[in-house]
Amino acid sequence: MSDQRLPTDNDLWHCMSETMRSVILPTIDDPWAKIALIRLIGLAEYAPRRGDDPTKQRTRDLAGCVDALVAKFKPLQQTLPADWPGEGATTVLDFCSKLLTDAVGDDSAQSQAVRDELKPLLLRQLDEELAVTSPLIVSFAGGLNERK
Amino acid sequence: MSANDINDYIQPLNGYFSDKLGQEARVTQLNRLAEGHSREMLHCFVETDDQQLQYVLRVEQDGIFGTSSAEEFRIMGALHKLDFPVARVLWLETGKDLLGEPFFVMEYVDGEPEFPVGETLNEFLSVLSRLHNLDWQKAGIEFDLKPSNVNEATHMQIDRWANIYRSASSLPIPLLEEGAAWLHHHAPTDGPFGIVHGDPGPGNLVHQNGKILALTDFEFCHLGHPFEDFVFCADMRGPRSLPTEGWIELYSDQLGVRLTEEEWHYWQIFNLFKGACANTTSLTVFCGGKNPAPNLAIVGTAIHQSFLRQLSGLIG
Repeated sequence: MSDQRLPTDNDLWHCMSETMRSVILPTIDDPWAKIALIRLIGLAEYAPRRGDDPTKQRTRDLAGCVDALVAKFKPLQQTLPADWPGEGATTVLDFCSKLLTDAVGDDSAQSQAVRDELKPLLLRQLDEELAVTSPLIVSFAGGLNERK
Repeated sequence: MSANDINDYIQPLNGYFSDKLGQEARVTQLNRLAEGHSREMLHCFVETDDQQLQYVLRVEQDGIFGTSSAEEFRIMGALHKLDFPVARVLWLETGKDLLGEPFFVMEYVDGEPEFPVGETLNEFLSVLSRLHNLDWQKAGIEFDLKPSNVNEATHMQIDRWANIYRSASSLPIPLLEEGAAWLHHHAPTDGPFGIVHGDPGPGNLVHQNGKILALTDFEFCHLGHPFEDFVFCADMRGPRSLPTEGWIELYSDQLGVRLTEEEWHYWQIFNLFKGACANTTSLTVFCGGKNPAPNLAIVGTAIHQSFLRQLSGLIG
């Protein structure tokens, strides 16, 4: 059970978005201030939805996908960076970039495998991100999202 | 100085306008004219002893979108000399001493606030086509990038936007790198070559009584393939006035321009790539604390990701 003596971050975000929605927004006539506030409400509702930073897990998943490709296409072993998969995400994302760009305009089995296996994983990760951020597009255009 | 405190500009601008006009001048009002994510557009009312003047200030915002006021000022000035419908630019300040950001001043052009419809769109297309077909060399218009043909121009623009994203982003974005490679691989080898506005359409023009008084927002202007503008307008800005299909019909009926499916596909991907790259700069400014405006957080996250998703889907 959480400590009930203190509000959670989610409680505080909820307080901010609800107060902005129901108390402040109805009083604002200035169109610039109004759209800024609507976007702020969007951000206050986005912040608690984000959860933990998924970068480490996503980097591990990408490295795993690349390892599987390397196991299938031995010549790729020669092109892996010496420090693969390296610290942080840079080495993995750099190598994923190289695989994808090398595959452009190339019909080899290896390039097809990159398009069939690595790209869908990158797209899934992007879709996961968009599932959380996309309500912000409504806020950006000046609309209020439905309360969740 | 952030986007949220424009009244802080008034004091320094009093001295600035006094200096430029050679007499005591006072800024009596400063209003946001339009929402710009990379530039503030401010409508400035200035009073001297014998005149009431109106100007527009276009103020950079921490290098968002990686474009230059100096080039924009130069291009607009040259176009104005050719009697092209564009506001007359007056003064350029490349330093940050006065307002904390480079800016330039232009004359105010008054128009109707609604998005254009009907005959005004035909007029707009005539103006846009005139821009595409201008003899920039004869007119002496200087661009920062100087390609010699459309193929070179396209590669230069892809590199330009890729480098802007690479400078702004702390991590590589593989799907964006794939986009750059795909665009290079499929770049047009020939075709029309001219001045491209880069952000044309409703919202970036001033019109009145069916006439186009000015095209605005030349920060993305460059030499390249006019199809970039046609697809951008129909897909991105244009639907405020007319559905995409309507624009396609208009291009065909009025200008005799008909893009093949492949051409449309290419320039759609190009424009999404350009947008996805440019949007990364917003997050840098936001996260660095230089400008904590909510629009920058959204442009750098959801809007960037949405563009990236669309372009990756189109590449297939």
